[in-house]
Amino acid sequence: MSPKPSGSGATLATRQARLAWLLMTPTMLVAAVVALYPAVTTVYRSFTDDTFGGTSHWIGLDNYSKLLHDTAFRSAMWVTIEFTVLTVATEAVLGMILALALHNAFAGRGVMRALLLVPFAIINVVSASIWKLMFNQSYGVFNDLLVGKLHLASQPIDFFGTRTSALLSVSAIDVWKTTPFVALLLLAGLQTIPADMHEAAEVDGAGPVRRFFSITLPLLRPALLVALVFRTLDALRVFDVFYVLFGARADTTTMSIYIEQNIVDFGKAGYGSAISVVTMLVIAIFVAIYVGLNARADR
Amino acid sequence: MNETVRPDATTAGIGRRAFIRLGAVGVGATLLAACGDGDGIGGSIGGGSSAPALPAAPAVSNAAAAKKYAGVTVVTDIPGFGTELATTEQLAKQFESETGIKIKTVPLPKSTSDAYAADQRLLAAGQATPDVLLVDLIYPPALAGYLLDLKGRLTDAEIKLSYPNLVTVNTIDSRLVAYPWYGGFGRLYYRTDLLSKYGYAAPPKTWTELTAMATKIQAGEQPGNKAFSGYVFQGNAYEGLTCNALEWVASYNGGTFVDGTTVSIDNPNAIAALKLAQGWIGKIAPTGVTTFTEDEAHSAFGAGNAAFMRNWEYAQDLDKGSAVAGKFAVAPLPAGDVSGGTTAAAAGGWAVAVNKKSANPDAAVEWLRYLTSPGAQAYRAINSADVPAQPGVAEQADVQAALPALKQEVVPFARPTQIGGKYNEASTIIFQAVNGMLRGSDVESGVRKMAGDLRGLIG
Repeated sequence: MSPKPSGSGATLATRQARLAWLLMTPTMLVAAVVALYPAVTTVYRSFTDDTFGGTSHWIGLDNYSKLLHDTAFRSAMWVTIEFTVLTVATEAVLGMILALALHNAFAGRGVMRALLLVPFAIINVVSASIWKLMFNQSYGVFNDLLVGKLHLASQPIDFFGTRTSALLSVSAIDVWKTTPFVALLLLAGLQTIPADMHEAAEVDGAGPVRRFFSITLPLLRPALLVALVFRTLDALRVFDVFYVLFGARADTTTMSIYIEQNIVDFGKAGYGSAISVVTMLVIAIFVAIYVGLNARADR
Repeated sequence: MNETVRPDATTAGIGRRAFIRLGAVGVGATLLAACGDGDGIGGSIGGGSSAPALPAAPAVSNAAAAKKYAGVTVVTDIPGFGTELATTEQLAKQFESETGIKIKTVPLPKSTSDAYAADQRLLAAGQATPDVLLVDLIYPPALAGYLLDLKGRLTDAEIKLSYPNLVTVNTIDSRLVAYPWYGGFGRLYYRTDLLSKYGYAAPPKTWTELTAMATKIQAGEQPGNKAFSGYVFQGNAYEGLTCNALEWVASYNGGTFVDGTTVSIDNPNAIAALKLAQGWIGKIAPTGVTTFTEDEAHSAFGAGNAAFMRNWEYAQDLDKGSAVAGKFAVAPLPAGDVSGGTTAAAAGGWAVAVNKKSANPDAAVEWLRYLTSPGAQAYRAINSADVPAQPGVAEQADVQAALPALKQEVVPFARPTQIGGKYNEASTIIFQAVNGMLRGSDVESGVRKMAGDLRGLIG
């Protein structure tokens, strides 16, 4: 930027750059140890037949070619993607409705916002265990209500019986648990939208629907994107709820459970690493889609 | 291993003596912890976490020898929960106070496969602790290389106390890598009150009889109790289902999935057995049974919502304070309706091993010696329904009074653990396939795929 004065030391810009590097070094070191190193070893290990406590040999792309024909992995990938699309879409819509409702001033709004966080504050495994009890066919509260109290069903329903009903049940739990998170992120976004824009639009005769789509939604896009990316990443890595509800059942195995099974239960660290790498790529594809959509909307 | 587990008694009816001889084999039964992949909800009707106060543990007979190592700390991983865990802790307390050796217990994951994975990683990493490991019967072949040879550490007389076949199971390459601790077998629990109400004098001898009886009782009881079902067992996709499926298939003379080094599951008898089980779902068993572990079955039966239940010996704790206390009895599992059909009980159980890398192997062996002593085994049998691994203990009058099932016939079958380190993966192939069948997928093609996957695995 500024021409370098002859004879003097470093310019302000280079001194600032040097300071920036200095300040960033600790963070980068930590990132290298806790993020880069494991990622690189995982990629390396995915080219080996590494087993826990056993031997490890370089086998090139063997793990990946095996993955191509692994029907269990393909099933795990679809389960995970279906779960992700279903829950993230539902959470975005419900979260938006909740956020809009909470954005209005009403008595007890502060309490409501705090209460909203209760599901999100419960540990996943704990809430999943409670839901599992409630879904239970023989002594769960849902079947007690449906059959015994409301008489909406003649037979107790097996909520986990088929793949579809199992996916819907587990999605319901995830929606219950993380919609508040989406709502809070959106609420924060809503509060950055100046009120006078709405007033101006109202003066110009725009109705509430028009104002939502022409003002609120476009201005909320950054917050919405953050919420969607967070939720999508979380959903694609889902492990605990499925694990508690279904254990090692084949048709509800998610990508993360399949990784755990291979590495921990079977000791196949090499193959498990290959699955991890592919899982990472699937997640990267989703992120690329979001970033691409956002860039297009910016234009 | 299967040969040792299937002695001459394939006939469905052996007396007490034969049981004791056979019991030899089986100490393995993953009593609760072993087969438990569940998350433990709802399992406390008769016994769960609030264990009653236990009587004092027996005196330490080897205290004099063990005192030499006073002050040393022995780290022990410790499986189980409820009374099973409490009895072990009580024994540890007694040992500490008499010998001065400190026992530090490290809880293990409840699921046997997770516990194995944890042990396997610690041992593979060359860790010196845990010094003493409590291992499920299915794992000595996979862990043998990391474990201390107990021959020469224990006297021959001590080794001879155990059922010989159990010693065989734990002897790998002529090294005794673990010492039998306690065991259990799959058993049929039935409601005596309901059987007599519907005119049955005795528990079912065959699976067909069980199906007929369960159908009739369920038809009679369900109108008054929507949650009632005829038969509950462990149908979730986990190790416990491998045990249940082994019992069905073996009772139909269909082998044990893998016999020796040969995959044997794709045979007509096995298919008939699995079709029978598939036919129960939604008829005499709730469709939700496909998510049941020991806990859920225990809860359903304990709440009076089932006529029959398959479970391990420890479920006899339902006799204390549950809704069915005094209204049920235990019988051998029914036999298959084919020629060569037999009653078949999955054998499970635990053994105690010492880490080869332990810094205090002598103190560790003394702790092992007390933990597996006849006195400690009798204490376990009486207080937590753990089947003794020694015939001398199983014959004691007070033990038989606490575990009347010890007097009954049992034909134990071992899971195909001879395949060693790949057992977990083989079991996963088995329980995932069978779980799919229970939820309605085609049995014939499922068995073909299972056999193909198993052949691909063990080559």
